Amino acid sequence: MSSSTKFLTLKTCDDKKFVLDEAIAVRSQTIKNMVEDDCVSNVIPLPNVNSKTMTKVIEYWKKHSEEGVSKDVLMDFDKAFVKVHHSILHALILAANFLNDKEILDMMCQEVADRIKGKTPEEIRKEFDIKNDFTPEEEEEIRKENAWAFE
Amino acid sequence: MNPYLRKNSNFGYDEIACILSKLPVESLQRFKILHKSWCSIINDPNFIKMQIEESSSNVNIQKILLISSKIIPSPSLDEDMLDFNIGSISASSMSMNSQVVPLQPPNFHMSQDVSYPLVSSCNSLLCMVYSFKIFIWNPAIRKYKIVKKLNPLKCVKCYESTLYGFAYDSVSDDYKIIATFVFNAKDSCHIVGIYSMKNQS
Repeated sequence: MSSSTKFLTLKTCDDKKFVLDEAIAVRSQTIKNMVEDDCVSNVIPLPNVNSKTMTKVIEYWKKHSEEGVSKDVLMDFDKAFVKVHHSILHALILAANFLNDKEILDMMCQEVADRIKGKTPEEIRKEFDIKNDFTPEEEEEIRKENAWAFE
Repeated sequence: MNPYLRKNSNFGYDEIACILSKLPVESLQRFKILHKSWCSIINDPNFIKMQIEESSSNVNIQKILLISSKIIPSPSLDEDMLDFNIGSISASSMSMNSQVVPLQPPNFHMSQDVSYPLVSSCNSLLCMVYSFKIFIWNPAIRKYKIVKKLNPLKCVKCYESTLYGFAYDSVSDDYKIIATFVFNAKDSCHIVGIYSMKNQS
């Protein structure tokens, strides 16, 4: 197959296939590079992305590739797009980073940042499933140094 | 378990740095204790540059500095004194009722030098000169550095005036202070000095 193929087939990690217009798929820098380097055969495997996440990504790509959509409509679409459970948000961030789509990555990271901004470290550890790896002494030292930030 | 159902903790440097770069400095200081990897990202000079870039394009986390000063006659001294107030306000919610957060410059007492203590600001750093010292102060993380102590005798007796400038040099990735000491303005007799933060000279 040559790079002039109009449609690309993307295969997610759970073996679902998505047939997509190449012009839309190249919103992903990763896919774009593959197309430009002419290393696209029949199917592009996306080993880091599952079908549920890919469906969301393609929904975003299609909306943002539509012609004649006003800025307000896109803004409302984006607002609704980020209002998802944090597990989906996290999956989208990983997918956007793998696909190298800075637009989605920035938007999703901004949403996570807005959600965690006012939270305590304990709340965030729970949400991100992070184990505290500081000794109590080390933690105390950092807390002391920045005591004002914990007020 | 399906290895592709990745857990949240599988975020790598890229993803965490991207999220953190969109947070205000107060949150970042607090989140240092989350995990050693988060702490090292927040302290990483490359991340700090990324955060500065990000915050300078996002009006929602920017702050505006408010400065007021008035000269008050001192009852005991011959010279007048300068009363100087500094505060910050969130740029996104600016209105008549916005809350102004007062800031306390380091070691700042009402001093006798009746000159404006703020030289200039750059990337949220303030360069200030008072009590015969040059300070670089970062109000967001409440840390400061005394860059140079000036000789009070020279300042008062020898120089007619002094002028300072403070800026970031992107070529050498360095903050620089330029000081001009004027001996005699008429004969344009002056010394110019440049201080580099990187080389501390």
